[in-house]
Amino acid sequence: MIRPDLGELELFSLLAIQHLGGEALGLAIRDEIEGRTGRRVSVGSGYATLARLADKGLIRFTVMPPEPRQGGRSRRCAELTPAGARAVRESVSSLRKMLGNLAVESGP
Amino acid sequence: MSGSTRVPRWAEALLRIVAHEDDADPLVDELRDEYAREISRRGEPAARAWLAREVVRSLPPVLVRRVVIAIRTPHSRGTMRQRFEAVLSDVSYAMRQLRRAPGLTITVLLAFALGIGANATMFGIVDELLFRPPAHVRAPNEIVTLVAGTAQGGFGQRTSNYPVFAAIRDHGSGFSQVAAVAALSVPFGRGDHAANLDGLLASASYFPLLGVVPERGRFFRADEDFAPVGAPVAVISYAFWQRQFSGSAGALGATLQLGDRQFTVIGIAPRDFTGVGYAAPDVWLPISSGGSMQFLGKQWTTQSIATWLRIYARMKPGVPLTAAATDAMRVAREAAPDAFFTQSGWSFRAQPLMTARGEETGASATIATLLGAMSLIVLLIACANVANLLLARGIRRRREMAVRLALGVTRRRLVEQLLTESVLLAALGGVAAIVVAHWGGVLVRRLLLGDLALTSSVLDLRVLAFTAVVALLVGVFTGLIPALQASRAEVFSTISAGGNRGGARRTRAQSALLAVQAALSLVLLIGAGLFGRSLLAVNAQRMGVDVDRVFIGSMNLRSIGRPASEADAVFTRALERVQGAPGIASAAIAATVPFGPSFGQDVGVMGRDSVRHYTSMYNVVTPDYFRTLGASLLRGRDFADVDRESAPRVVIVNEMLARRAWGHENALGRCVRVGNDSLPCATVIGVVENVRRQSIFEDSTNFVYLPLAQARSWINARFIVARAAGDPAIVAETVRHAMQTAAPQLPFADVRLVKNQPVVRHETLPFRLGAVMLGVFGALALLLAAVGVYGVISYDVGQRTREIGVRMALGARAADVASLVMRDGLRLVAIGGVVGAGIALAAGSLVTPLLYETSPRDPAVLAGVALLLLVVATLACLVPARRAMRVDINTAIREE
Repeated sequence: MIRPDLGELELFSLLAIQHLGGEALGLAIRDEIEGRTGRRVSVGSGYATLARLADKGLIRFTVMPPEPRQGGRSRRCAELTPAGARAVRESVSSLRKMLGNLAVESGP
Repeated sequence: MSGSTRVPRWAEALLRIVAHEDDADPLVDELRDEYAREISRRGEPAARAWLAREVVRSLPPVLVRRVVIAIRTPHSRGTMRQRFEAVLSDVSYAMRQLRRAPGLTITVLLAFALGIGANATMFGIVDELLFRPPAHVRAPNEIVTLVAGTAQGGFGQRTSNYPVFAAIRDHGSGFSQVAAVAALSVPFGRGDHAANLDGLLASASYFPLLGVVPERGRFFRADEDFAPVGAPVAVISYAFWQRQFSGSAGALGATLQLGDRQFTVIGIAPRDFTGVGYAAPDVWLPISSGGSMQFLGKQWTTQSIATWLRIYARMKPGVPLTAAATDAMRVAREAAPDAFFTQSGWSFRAQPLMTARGEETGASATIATLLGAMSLIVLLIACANVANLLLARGIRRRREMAVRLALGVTRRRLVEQLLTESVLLAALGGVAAIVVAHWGGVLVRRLLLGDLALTSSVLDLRVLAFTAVVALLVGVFTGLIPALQASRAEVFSTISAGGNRGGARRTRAQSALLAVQAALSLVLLIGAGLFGRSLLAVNAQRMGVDVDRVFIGSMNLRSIGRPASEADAVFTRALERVQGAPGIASAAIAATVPFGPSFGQDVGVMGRDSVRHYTSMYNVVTPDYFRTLGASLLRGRDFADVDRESAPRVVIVNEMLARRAWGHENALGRCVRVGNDSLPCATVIGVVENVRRQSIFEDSTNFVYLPLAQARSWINARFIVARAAGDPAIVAETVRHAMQTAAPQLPFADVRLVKNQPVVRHETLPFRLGAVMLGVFGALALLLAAVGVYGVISYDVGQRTREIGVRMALGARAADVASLVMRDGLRLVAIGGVVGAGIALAAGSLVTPLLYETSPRDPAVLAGVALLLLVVATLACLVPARRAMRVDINTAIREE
């Protein structure tokens, strides 16, 4: 089943990180979610979601080196931990099992 | 994505305040990236709008995150104590700062006291009218009142009668207790010391239903309230006990002459107990003991045509309101099949006590709510004002801040300290506001809400709690902008700028706050102007009665058991005495009066070969009635002594009836039949202007007047009308005394100006309330705004001393300098004024229903208020301008 400690936005964020190749900036994650679901997540709530995932040990942040130009800043990049990858697998597979052969109409 | 784009400072600052320390940097970075992208995609203006939305959307999750972290982070004892000590040290630091600038502190406290005080006052009144449960009443939410009505006509029939009440009490199944009450005026004592008491007839079940415990003695027993004649026992209010018996224990068992009986005091109600209403009556009597004091006379237990009792009930637990109400109507139909409100289509609604109370205050509550909103504007102005003063001081203290930052104090600590200062100011202001609220509440109740006669205390725990919360919010709100600005001090440049000024011109925030104050005061002043004009329009209309000079005197002879036949003798003697009294221009007797009861009759107008019928109101009056009222006789003559009982029958008609019956032809000399067709026809001898009957806003109706000598038995009631020649305030007592002593042992003579009649007071209340209160708030707002303009402009002049000195050295004349300063101040006020006028025009439609014959866009009001604002702003700028003119060139330039 979808892990009970995992909210919808949290699962979306984990999936977005995977889509982005396992590690991603906050803005890219929110863009990814919007591109796939049409839902625009605000800076604050995207940030808070990542922070919760980090608290649960499902992602960790790595600091990227600063951009090589005047005033360039270093960025935090979110990366799935093994526990995070496992959480995605478990959630998705239980969702698949639940669906089975059910023909659930999907919206346009 | 250019990393050089900066997010506007307010957005960054807001996020940094709300976010946890560790979250702030990455959050701001991400916001910056996306903002840069938005600019490149959609341009700067659109990106700014996006940013504002994004920041607002982001604050809640970020705040939640911060709270979660705060809860999770374990505090050791030491850090808790450290935190407490830090707060203490902040407070004492803030105290020192406030003491160092007493002028500023006093100004801020005054602004807070007025702003918060106005709000606490209005909160107290709105709360009392709409939300506060009545004192001493057990579980008031279980109590309902029965209101009858129909689906089409709505539910407004609040009174019922005794047969229906008794049936619901004895056979209703949805209620655990049922009680009924009726208000009445109780004649107390006789002769010159007579008075009228506010009384309430109450069933024996009334006090047990409310669950109230007597202060002394006891309440009514069921066997004392027994139809048709109950026991002569009375419960008196706490206030009446204090007033009449000075609170002595001897009150219990004392007797009171009420109406035509002696009543024994058996109990005293607790202090502040007002029952189901807003005001405590002086005395409660069993319904069955009110007997002759009621207008129904002896048939009160059986008649079911008229309605006079309000029914209250306590719900049985678990019974739905609708079921109880339906059952009550079933019982009522059986008990009183002929009552109009038990006919088919009618039903009862069980309305919760609190809602019912709120509805009955009607316009007062609406106006009070509106005034509550207006007082909020005053508070906003006060906040803008204080924020501006603190900003100015913050700029003066920039150097201090820079030094402390350089010494390693974090910006967060600085913000905390500055916020502590403003919250402390607001807390002190809140204490002063309680004093303002107390006196404000007393004044508003006495001057404007006198009709509701609110008797409970002005300040209670709820008002105090409200004041505390508002003070806290206001403290944080006003401190935030100055604190942010001060904490942004640029360390290096400020310190290296040297000198002791570290000064700068006023900031954009200051200018904006100033314009906001001007805008909001303009809105309030326009509101005051509109209500004022409505009040003038109401007062200026022709009513056919001079409401400011005409007295109406009434005396309830039947209540003391005197027969109606005696009334004419008593009133004729009273009229003679009144006419002979000093200060009286004229007086007359009438069977009814404007805003009194109405009596209708059929009026037949003789045509050439047919009779046309008109429904008309009528009155029976003595000569001089019209002159006394101030109604002009348009044609013909007034009644005179020659119109005796035996003389030919005559009538006077009003303009409306004359026009309907005869159009443009002359009405004089025509023949009309009033009432029963067998009566001889009467000659029209005069046409009088239309006189108001029931309401100052009514359309005129047909009216016919008969001379008293020819129509004594038509209506039993008698009134004295008298016109004051001198000061009405002095004449009132003269009239009362003359009526009171016309015969021995008379009951209280009630004498009041027409404008003080309940109907007139009630109908003009919204305008009086609106004009006076908005006027007070507007004046307050204007004062605060003037102080604001003065403070900011004079601060600015101080900061620009050097610049002014240089200008003068280069040849600027004093007048140039003065106009420079004036232009600067007036420009801001003008911008604010335009914005305020825009708001007022846009919000105009909201107040339209509350105005009378006044457009919410009344040009005279707009122009007048704009001029007032301009004059006040000019005065406020004049002082700093004069100071600028007197800048000494040498000192100014040498100073740096």
